[in-house]
Amino acid sequence: MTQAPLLSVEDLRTYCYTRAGVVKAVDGVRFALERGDSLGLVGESGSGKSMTCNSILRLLPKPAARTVGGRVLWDGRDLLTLSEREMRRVRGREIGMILQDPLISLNPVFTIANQVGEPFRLRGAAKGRSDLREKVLDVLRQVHIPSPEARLSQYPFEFSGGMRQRTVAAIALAGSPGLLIADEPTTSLDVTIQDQFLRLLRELQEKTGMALILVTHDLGIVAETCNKVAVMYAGKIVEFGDVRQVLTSPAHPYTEALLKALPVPGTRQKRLYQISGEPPNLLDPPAGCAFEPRCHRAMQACKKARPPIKRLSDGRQAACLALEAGEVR
Amino acid sequence: MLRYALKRLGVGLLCLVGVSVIIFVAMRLAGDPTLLLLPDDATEQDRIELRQELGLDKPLPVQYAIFVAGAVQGDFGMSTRWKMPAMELVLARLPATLQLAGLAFSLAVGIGLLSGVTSATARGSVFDQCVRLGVTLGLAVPVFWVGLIFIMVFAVDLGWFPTSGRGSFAHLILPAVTMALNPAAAMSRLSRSAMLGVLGADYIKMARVKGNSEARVVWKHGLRNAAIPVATLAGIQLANMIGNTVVVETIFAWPGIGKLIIDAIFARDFAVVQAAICVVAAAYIILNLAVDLTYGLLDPQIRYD
Ligand SMILES: Nc1ncnc2c1ncn2[C@@H]1O[C@H](COP(=O)(O)OP(=O)(O)OP(=O)(O)O)[C@@H](O)[C@H]1O
Ligand SMILES: [Mg+2]
Repeated sequence: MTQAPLLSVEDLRTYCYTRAGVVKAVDGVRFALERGDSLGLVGESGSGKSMTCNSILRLLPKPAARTVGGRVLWDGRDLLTLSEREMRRVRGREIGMILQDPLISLNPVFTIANQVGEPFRLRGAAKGRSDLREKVLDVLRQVHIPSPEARLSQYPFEFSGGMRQRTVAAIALAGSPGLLIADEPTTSLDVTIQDQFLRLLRELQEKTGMALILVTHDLGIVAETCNKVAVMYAGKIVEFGDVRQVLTSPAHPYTEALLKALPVPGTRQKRLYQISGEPPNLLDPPAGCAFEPRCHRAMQACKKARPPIKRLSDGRQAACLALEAGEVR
Repeated sequence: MLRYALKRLGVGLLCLVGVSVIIFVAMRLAGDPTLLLLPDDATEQDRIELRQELGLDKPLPVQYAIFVAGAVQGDFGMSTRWKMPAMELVLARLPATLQLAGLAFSLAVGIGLLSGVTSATARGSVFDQCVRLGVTLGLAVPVFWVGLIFIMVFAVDLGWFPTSGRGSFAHLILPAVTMALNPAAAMSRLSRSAMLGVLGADYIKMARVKGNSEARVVWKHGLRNAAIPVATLAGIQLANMIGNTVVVETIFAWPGIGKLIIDAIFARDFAVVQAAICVVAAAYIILNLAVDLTYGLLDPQIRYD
């Protein structure tokens, strides 16, 4: 018998209840992570990446969204059935999260020392003031904040965007989590800072062995940072597997289209490839495959039933009827 | 910071001078006190003599100069009605007013914040709806009417509280609640909207991600960011409390400064009105300055210079 994975998400369903109707933002998501894995979660805007992350930590916008089904197995427990009290112990300590925008995820009215120290204080990890100070300085050094001693009494508005982002990472690290979820952690930073930050994440991951879920639009970042990738489309994972396999020979037509839309460095393209058509309306999703209207391999059968996600011979998983018909490679 | 405080204090002093001029002139326009002080059978000669004695025969600017010369030494003149130094009279009434205003203010801020913040966290719930209805009512009903209804219901019909006067703690409750109603409603509405603006922020989600309890998320991370508008309103309300006592003290016969001012106005007791108004205005100015200085503690981005 193989050992249970670190995190196993099974048939997760999170719906948004809007005035216009029910949006199935996360509709049967399933994936598993091992210790030290780093998973890139990619997909178009609105495909449900953030909702998936928020569902894992149970931080959905209330009362608009609710997880209506599935299991999130973590360390032998189903997070979805924990009490709010138990869930609080998971947040920050066992699973950390970095939010998208570093400019607004630090509290403007508390000092850096206060905010970075809070995770230690919350779990009673520091013995006295000077120990707390040492621990705070230590994590700030780990994320390469220059002269951290001088920074302790400063406020977020005195920090640059990159420094704020690293402070947010320091806060996540302060809980020494086994899994870090980073929801588009670098979209609001410029490219060099973005690069530095991703390098930092990799470095920390190597040092601590924590697993990582990295949400991004950028397949280049995934290729550099992750060992696994999950491609989401309309609330479902349509392809999941090893980064090299998926990015070099995509099985699902949507992954293929995403890769085609990437600019190739060193070449001059007049126009980037664009995926034609619109993402489906999640209020009234098609009965068949959600990608079918935009798919160049669409068959008659695709309109009728949703393709189940299947394990392919090379170990990866994909949800496409064409694969079964032997259409794709 | 010190320079800022001194500058503000200077401006405050100017305001005080302005207030004293206005009240000085207004009182003298209100009528001649000698008409009330003399018996019905007094002669015109008696009246002229009394006016001389009180210094009312001198030109207005001279009268004002005499008033200021005394006031800077703490002498606000003699009360014509109570026959004692005006300031002494005012200071004797001050504790009663501070007691009433203090309890009313604590009730207003306590109830207002608690209901406002809680209804923001439970937006759209039954509790929220009730609070919003209460706020609308609290802002709409006039203070004097509430006071009279309270006396009728809780003092006369039910007999739970005394109708008027000062003495036991029970005497304090009806006037304090009456006075707190309006500011509590305003505080509730403001803190609700300020918290609604804050609770959606990413740093609130971040506080949850860190594993904070919901109470700490709301009352520490949330309220601390909504603190500036809340503190501003609280400061204004505290300053207004002292002036608001006039109506409530009159209804409940509460022996404080407000009631004293009314009685003194009717008696055309210039010295007492001037002394009392100066005390109220000075308190107002000092409280406002104190509120402005606390901004620096609440928002790290504010620097005084
Ligand atoms: N507060 C909300 N109320 C109602 N619907 C919501 C809410 N938040 C998200 N949704 C719906 O859930 C779906 C998934 O949203 P989600 O934020 O997970 O997308 P995403 O993949 O993270 O996109 P992006 O790349 O733009 O961040 C969206 O289609 C949106 O319509
Ligand atoms: Mg998102």
